[in-house]
Amino acid sequence: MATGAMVVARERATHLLNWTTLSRLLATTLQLGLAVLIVRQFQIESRAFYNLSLLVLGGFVLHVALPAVYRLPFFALLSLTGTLVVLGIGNGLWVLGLGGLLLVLCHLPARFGLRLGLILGAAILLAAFRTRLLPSGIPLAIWPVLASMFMFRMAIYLYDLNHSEKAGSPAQIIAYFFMLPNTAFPLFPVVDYKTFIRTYYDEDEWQIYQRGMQWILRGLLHLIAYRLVYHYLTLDLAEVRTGPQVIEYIFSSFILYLRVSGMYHIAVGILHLFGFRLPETNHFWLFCQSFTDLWRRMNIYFKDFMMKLVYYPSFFRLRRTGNRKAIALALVAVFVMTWALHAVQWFWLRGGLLLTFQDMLFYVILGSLVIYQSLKEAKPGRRRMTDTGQAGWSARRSLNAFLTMGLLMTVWSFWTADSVDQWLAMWSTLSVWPARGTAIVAVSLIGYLAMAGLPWRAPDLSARKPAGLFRPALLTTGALSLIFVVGQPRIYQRLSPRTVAVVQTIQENRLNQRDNAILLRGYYEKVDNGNQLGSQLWEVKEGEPDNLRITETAAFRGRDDFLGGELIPSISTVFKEREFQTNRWGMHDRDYEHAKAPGTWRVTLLGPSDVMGPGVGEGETFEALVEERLNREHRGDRHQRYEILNFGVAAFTLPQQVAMLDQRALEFDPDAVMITFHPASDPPTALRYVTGAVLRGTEIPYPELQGYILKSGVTRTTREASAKRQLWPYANAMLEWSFRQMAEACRARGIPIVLLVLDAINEPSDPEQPLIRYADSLGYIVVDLRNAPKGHDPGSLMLAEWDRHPNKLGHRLLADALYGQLVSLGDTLGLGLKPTSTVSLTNQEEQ
Amino acid sequence: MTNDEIMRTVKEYILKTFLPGEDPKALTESTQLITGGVLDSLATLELVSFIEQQYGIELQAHEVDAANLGTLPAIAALVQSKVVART
Repeated sequence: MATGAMVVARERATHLLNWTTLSRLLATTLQLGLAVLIVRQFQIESRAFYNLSLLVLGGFVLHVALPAVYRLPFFALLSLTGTLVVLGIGNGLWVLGLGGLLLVLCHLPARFGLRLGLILGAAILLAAFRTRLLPSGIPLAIWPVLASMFMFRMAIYLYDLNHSEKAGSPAQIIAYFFMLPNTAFPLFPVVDYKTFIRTYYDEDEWQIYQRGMQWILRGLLHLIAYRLVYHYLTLDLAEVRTGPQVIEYIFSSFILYLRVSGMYHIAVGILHLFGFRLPETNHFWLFCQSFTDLWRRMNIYFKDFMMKLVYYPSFFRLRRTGNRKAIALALVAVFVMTWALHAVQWFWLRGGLLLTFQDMLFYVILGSLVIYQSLKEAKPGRRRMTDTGQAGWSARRSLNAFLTMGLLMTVWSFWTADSVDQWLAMWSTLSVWPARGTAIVAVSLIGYLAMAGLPWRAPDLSARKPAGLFRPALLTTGALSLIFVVGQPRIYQRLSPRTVAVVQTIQENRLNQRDNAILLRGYYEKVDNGNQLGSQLWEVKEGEPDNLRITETAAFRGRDDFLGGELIPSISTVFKEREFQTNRWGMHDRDYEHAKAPGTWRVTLLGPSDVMGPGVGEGETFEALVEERLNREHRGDRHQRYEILNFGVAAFTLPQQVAMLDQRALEFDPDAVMITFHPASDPPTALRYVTGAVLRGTEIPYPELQGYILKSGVTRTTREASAKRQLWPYANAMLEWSFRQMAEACRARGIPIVLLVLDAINEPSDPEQPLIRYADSLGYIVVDLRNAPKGHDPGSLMLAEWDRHPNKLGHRLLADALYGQLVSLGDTLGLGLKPTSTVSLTNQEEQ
Repeated sequence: MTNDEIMRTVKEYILKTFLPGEDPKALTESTQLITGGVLDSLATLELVSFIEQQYGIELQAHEVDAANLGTLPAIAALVQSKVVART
């Protein structure tokens, strides 16, 4: 006898075998399959997201095949599985366990007030674990996910639970808190519980799926556009020199929001594929007509959250004082809470407090503008700012959008700026308008005004009927196919080299030059990059430990002279989770006699951290490996012994290498000198060091360098932002001076000087960097090691995602490359090496 | 007072106040008033004031959402339930 469940299952099977249903399923699956391929092809977000998207693809097909009654439990189960798949079993179990405990507290058989108190107590306890005030063993990686699942949703859920007669089913609650796409997106839309339940399959299922696919497509386009902006438009404040660059800086700092918008579209799109017809998010946000319109269009989910939990309750409490006053006060409450919640969210995601002047001022300005316009709109007989009353292009609409977005972008650029001083100093460059930049700004502005004048608001009521399925499916499939085809190397490699480079860049999920520079700066000084919760850099820095800088360890001491600091001799400490020892001369190296023994070929090697070798043992640095190999394979060729003395000190810039050579390295009677040059990072780091030295009042013992400082007009009392700006025109000249100074010192002693050219891992530099040619013209022997990591996954060569220094394997590859170049240099360095078998250190290791 | 009468009165108010010039036939029982963008937060509060005055009832903050005010039938049901509770 057939059971009820079997009857339901049979009915669903019959329904699915219908041609119309089958073709719809195939069409949606095809679109989703293409989207997954694009996620892989463009490395969208993270590897975790690709794994999740595979789960979504499989889950969607199975889910559609299920009878309606089993779909929600299936989605809940899939979401739990997704947590384990994306986070790994260990971290996933922590999230499920802690989340489960919070949910148990919500449903204890006690009065609401007591349950609320228990949950607040649990939140305080978790906060103590988060800050490590209390030891817990909870992995750091789970906090962003746990916070994004519970921080806002728990507040909404408790609010609804308090005003509802019955709690949801277990499947509804699990689906709501652990919803499938969440684990891959720590910044996740604040989904409303009642909306989540109310909109579940409240429309034709295929319409919901198709809309989901459209939003996934829109999200992918946003994320691809974000990569273009991120790699080709973003500027560091210190680089802003002209009026057009001010515009570019302001525009690009705001438009990076494309990443959040893209993630939200994809997350909500995925939820549509499982029947949750949630509202549209970030609706044509570049064309907002006013600040109230902006509030309604951008992060709609957060706006709804604030309306529900703060605005309406405040208004209802205050409305006896008069509607306009109540609206104003309720909006003040909304913006104070928005600021506070942003700070709390920052705490859970990053583990520290966000109480900055910039952050507070941003919310004060934004809140004031929204309150002003709301009160204006609240006047009787008001005309809503979203409606200009014209169907076609409208100059007023265009101007409204321009003024609103212009002001917002300016305030936003202040909010996200690394330094208020630098942001203020930027405006002094507005007097410079080069022709090319001005033309680009003018054309872009005309294009924007033309677009902004169109009616981008929600369509008229008559146009809100559901569209058919065929046309949207065809368009979405076409667009996804086009992206996929254009992303194929066989296709795009037929285009110009410049286009090929652009496509390759946007297909990689890596930091841009600016963020790499900030990451690098983080090795030199404490850097906290503004208030950008959605920034890629922040995600990379998420796991960063506290003692990242050598200057914060017992192995380093500062100095008042131009050298600036040094490694302390004969010290043993822990740095980057490895034992870090120095010899009696303050080198991260084995011990050497001061006097060179007869028959010894000795080279002194100068440079920053990748020479010093943080995170690897004393015998594992590339110079130590080469030295060991030379002694093993070439003892007795011409020399009895080979010594490479490591004078590398983390964060040492080229001008400091000059001082190190003068004060220390030449004392050791080298047969050659090697200095290191990082084409991408040395110009800004040298500028920063010299600026700091001037502002600290350090005596600069080099007349030529003093001359540049004098010409720049920078003195000890100049503000830092202005000093950097004034010295910037001399940055190149200061590097050229460093090269000349060291070349002359070696020439005077009759010894060759080698320029080792290195890149930070996964941060390729310009192969034709003019300073390399300049060094070559001064007589440097250029040894370019930038291709050493080629063919290897960059992730396998660096210490950690937040630390681009080479690990053991990275050093081995550098050692192989340097050894190969030393052999090929023949007798240029006076090494006199005889040919030998050239099995690489890396191959030896692999064997 | 029937649900149809409530819907007719509220529809007239919405058309006159928030959708001047809109074809009355376009505002149907399935039109999404809040998620569809007809009612923003200010308009929602104006509608609340109108309903309270028109039917002599009082709404609570937690009742101001798309479930209760999202469509004309939802509004009618909310008003009816409040009126019944009052009597």
